[in-house]
Amino acid sequence: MENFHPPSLLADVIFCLGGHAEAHGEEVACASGLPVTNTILASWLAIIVVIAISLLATRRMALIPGGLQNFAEMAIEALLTPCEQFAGARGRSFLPLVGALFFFIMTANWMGILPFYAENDWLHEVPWTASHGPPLRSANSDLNATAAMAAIVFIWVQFMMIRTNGLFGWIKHLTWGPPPVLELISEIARPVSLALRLFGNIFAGEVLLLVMSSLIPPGVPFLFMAFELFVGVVQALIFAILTLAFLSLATTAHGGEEHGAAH
Amino acid sequence: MRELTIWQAVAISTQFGFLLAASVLIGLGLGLLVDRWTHVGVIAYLVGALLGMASGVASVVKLVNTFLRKKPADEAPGGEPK
Repeated sequence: MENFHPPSLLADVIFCLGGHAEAHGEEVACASGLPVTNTILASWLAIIVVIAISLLATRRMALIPGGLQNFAEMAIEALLTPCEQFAGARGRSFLPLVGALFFFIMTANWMGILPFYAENDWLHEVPWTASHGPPLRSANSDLNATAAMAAIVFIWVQFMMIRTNGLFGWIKHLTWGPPPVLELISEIARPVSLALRLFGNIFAGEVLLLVMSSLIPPGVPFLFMAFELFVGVVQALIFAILTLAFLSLATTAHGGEEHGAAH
Repeated sequence: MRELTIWQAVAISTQFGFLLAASVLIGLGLGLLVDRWTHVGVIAYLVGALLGMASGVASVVKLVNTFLRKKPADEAPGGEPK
């Protein structure tokens, strides 16, 4: 057991299954001594796209919305409804985190099927990409990216739990359930499962596209790309719904009653 | 009790397998730490794995209950459902 290293083992298994694919991005640049991988670049691009659409949608706000503002309001209301279903009036305070995660994950997943995001035969003809690999890769096909988002959810959930139950109540909740330590394992397992599920689904999609594009005639992979678009929005929705559920659980005081104060 | 929407059902069904597996792995990891600290051998792994399994089942039940619970607005001010 001393030689058991889960991350490398996981990466090795995935490498064997996926050929060139790995569980982490490939380094494409270096900024102040810190490595910048193709998945980090893809994350930055997705963030820029989300911010740009938000700015465009709110540039000329009108009482009777039209165009992009109308679409943005529709999307926000579609997210606000489940928030309020879960937590009533308090649900509105969950919307910034849940909405940001949803839009980022969806945009990153959808951008993942664009050219330059995956291994292609024509990339090997370009000298730089032949030696470095694709310059971009779907952000959520990197376990580090999904783990970072799950860590943000974990920290926020713990913060909300301390706010609801107090520091002593939080420590008691984690360590003194019947039997002890059960809740501690449960709290750690939630972000781990969140990160692994999102990574697994998006990474499997990447491998599927890679394999299909090399096996079947040109044109047919478009069907799989369309399927990946669907998977992208479903995975974003699931991540958002589960984050909402964990936040809702965190703001439920011991004994089952909802925390009454509006945040 | 509230009915699940299709997306909530999909969220639960795709999450609970990962939740169970992650709980068992974390239980085993805690068992490993306890073994390194106390040198009690395989008992620590067994207890860790059992705790992980129990925790996984409890997590799934709690997650499903969160989705099925009535929303606060459905309850009267005294806490009783309408």
